[in-house]
Amino acid sequence: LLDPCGHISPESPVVQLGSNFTAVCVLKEKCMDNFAVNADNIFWKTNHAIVPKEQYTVINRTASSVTFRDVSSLNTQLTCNIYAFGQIEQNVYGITIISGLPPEKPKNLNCIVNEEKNMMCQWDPGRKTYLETNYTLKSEWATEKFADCKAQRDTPNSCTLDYSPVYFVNIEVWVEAENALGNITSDHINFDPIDKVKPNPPHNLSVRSSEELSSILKLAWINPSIKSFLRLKYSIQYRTKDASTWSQIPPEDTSSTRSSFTVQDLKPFTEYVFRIRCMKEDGKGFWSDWSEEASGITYEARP
Amino acid sequence: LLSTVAMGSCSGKYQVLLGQLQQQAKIMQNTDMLLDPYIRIQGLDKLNHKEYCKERPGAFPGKDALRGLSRWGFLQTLNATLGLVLHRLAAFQQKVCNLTKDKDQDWKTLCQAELYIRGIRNNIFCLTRLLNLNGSSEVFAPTWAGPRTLPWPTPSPGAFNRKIDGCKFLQGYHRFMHSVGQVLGEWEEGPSRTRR
Repeated sequence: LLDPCGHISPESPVVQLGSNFTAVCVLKEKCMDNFAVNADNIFWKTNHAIVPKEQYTVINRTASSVTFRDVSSLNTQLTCNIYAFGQIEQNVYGITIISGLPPEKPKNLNCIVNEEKNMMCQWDPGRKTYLETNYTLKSEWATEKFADCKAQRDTPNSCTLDYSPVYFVNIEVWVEAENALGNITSDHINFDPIDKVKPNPPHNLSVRSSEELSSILKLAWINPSIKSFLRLKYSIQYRTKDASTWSQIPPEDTSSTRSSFTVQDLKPFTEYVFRIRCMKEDGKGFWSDWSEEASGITYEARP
Repeated sequence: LLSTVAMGSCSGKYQVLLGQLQQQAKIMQNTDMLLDPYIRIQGLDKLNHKEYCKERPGAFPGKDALRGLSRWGFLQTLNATLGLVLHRLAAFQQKVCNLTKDKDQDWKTLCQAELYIRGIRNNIFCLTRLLNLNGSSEVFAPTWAGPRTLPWPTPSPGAFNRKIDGCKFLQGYHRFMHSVGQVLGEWEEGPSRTRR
């Protein structure tokens, strides 16, 4: 490669949007002699457009600086040039100015434990930074630190831990954000993962009618295996086959772990559709998804 | 998993910590957490293991021994015993747990159990700190007077016998955790009540 006639510093700057930026170009003596130039002859270009002279400052015989106020463009090619022998445009050196913003404090950090999966935490990363920004989810017990969880480039607002959740042990979690312009830490949250569970839905929902009573249908289901770690409550909804709106069984009737329920006060000889979901009994955590729907027909009323 | 001491904050509430320890003891009573997967991994399920897979007397502290300890002594004994269990598990797992992928379900369960035991020790640390913070009047009492190391000084000769040793050990562990759960269940009162 050609031996450059000088150089610019800083070499590969990262500049905060809205701030001022100054670069300095220093000519080599050899070139100054070869091309009969000095710092007065330096002119600057950004993306091939000449920078107004008002922004230059000749520092000494070999060095000239250029200053940009309130930097607003993101990536700029900045070149230092001279007119060799007063005529021939000659590029001395070039750099790329990258500009962006330091990360904001990640907010609204929250975590969820989907049953049988590892814990996933999400946060609001704040404004766009226009820079490569790393988000790292940190987690630790009082007695142990766990491996960092580095958010993927395309999902900078979440991370799934690579170890299974351990219920009944308080864990402290926070996010560290970092790019070339700075780093910042979210608030810490401290919780027991058992309080962040989203159970699998109840399954194998079945509906049976009762010959004795034409106004009831008996539901039965299998609870998710998480029930060995926590007590569940349920939300049961039903509608007649043709209706579009769901009716809700009163929550107080389904507020503890069970695997069956008798729905009463139904119309005889009518098809009903049911669905059920569950969550931790004390309301901490998240509702499961709805189960598969199941339907059944009430018995005909006796004459 | 990095294991340097961190200072993630414990729950500062006695009832929460006690509840967590009780839940952990309850989970760890289940043989499906450790003994059953161990038996399958070792191929002992093909044999009538119930007959010879009995706890070795004195291997783990009994309920009465545990009940006789002060809270501090109980937590110390529980922590020390779990430390030995972890040591034993580590020898058996030999880094399998560090392989995040391609573990069958039984190995996953075994590795998860190790993490759970470390979780119990974490809660013991927190409760011990909480009791101290309260200037608990517990007098430091000797831990369970049993041998410093669980009595497996000389593993039985022969691979099969060593498998049976492990089976007996884990049978004892689950029984021990059942006793721990029962004693913890009697700790309903506040942190500062002096034990007898």
